[in-house]
Amino acid sequence: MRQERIAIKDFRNYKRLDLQLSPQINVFHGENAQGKTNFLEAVSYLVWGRSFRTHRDEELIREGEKGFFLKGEFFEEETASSLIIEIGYNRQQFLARINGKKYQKKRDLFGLVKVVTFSPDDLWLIKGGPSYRREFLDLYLSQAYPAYRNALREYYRVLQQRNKLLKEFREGRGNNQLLESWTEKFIESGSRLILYRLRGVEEIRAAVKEYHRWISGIREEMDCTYWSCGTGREPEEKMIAEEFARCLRRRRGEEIKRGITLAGPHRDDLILTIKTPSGTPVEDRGTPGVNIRIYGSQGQQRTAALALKMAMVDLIAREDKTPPLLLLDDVFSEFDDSRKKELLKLLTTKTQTFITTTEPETVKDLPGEIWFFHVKEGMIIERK
Amino acid sequence: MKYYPAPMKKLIGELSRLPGIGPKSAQRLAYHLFASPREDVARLASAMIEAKEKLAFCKICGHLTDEAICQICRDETRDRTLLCVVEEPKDLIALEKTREFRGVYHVLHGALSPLEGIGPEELRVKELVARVQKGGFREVILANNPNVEGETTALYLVKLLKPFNVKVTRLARGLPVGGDLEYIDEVTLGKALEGRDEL
Repeated sequence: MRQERIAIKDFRNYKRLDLQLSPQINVFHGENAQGKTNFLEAVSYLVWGRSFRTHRDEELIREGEKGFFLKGEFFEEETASSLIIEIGYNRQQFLARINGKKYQKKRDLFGLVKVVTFSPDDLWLIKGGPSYRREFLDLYLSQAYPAYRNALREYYRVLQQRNKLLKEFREGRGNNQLLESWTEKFIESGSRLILYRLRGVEEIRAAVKEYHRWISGIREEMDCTYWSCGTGREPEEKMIAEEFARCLRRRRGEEIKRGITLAGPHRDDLILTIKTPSGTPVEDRGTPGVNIRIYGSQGQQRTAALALKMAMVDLIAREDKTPPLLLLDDVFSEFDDSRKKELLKLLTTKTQTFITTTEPETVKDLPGEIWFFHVKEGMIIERK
Repeated sequence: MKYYPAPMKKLIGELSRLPGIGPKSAQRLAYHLFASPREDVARLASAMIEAKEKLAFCKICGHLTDEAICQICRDETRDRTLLCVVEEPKDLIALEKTREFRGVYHVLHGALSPLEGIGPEELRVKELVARVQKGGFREVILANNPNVEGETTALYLVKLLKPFNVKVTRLARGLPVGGDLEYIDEVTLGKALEGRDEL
């Protein structure tokens, strides 16, 4: 899939924009705070129904306006089919048209076009709390596996229902058989989600290790394991439901006291570790190696985040039979020159890429058709 | 709305309280009613009153009826050892249209949903348990909707019915007949794969 054209109206600092895009590399350059990243945001909103930077749609409206409009024209070579996505957001109302047909739910949009973003904020994937890593798994595994998205949605619905019921218990209005039934359904939905996540992590694991070795250039081994809050380790595929049930039973008393669900995929984590050949192996949360989140240097953390994202690009490309669009937001400024070039070359040859940078010279030698767009104050003032 | 005379305003107001009717549709319906012959409007009004006054829920199964006991529960030819539990009267109608089911029904009038404040007391669960407890059923079919709330309701009912030693089944989830495999959503296809049967 590639994007051929984009039209933007009243989005962030863009008043009006209509651009033909390069099928390979699109570079948006200019000073800081001119609207380079805003452009990538518009692309991500078109395909996800949300920005990769914020969940609050109101923030995306240009100052003084009541809504925004986006239109993307896409083309898929494999099937020679074109796709037109139009999104209007007005007075908190969302309306999408997909090839002219109206849709009111964001979820109808999701997954038509796959996208992976790379941004300096990816560091939070490593440094941040578990919710960052869960969101990472949810967003990208949903794109790789359509069934994942449904499992996720169902899980959160059951979780909400069960939490409401636990609150009733806290207030002394409880029916044990009712709680048993919701717990049973909760275990069923939760186990399915855990299974999908386990398999997803297993699918990216080898690529994560390989990319990490390649980017860092040293003999460190990165690893990622799914960590279930119920058991404090990676669950075994055959035992998921049993272990989950056992752990919920143990916490039943506390759950009722607090009125919320205390175990499940909504509290799980992805543990990222590094093993150095010389260093003494350290046990961390049951995983051999050093937790990058806690002990990694800034450089190690950036490398780890990048390796995770790149592995996801491969997974989506493999599952979807066509690579996702790549949005690279000023990501490679922190890497040294030779590494940066290799990395960019590797990414940009895979698929259509959108790059923002303050230094367009650094990307001008990339192989492929590169179009440069000079961004200034929400306008494209020059293209070549 | 403020530009309309009071009776029109009142009519549009009442119509727009109906489910699925927004202000625009309400306005269109109001104009239509105003333009219709008086007897048509009177017929509609009396049909509404009549339905409200004469309809009630069957004392046995909870289906809509204009008598104490509904037609299905009165029908001597139906198999009274086979009970099918549904969420709403419209689900019962859907099953009746298949003409495949010759047993009797029990309408719950909803599904469990703590978020909407619906627990067993809000549904006709007590009545169901009493019916099964009386005995005489060889099988109870749970035809709850295949969503989170419906499935949990089924899990709950199974627990309640277990002590009565009756066979409890639920509808299979699977492929729509006459559909193309490629157009079927992944969840349905996945469930159909899970529940495949041997030939």
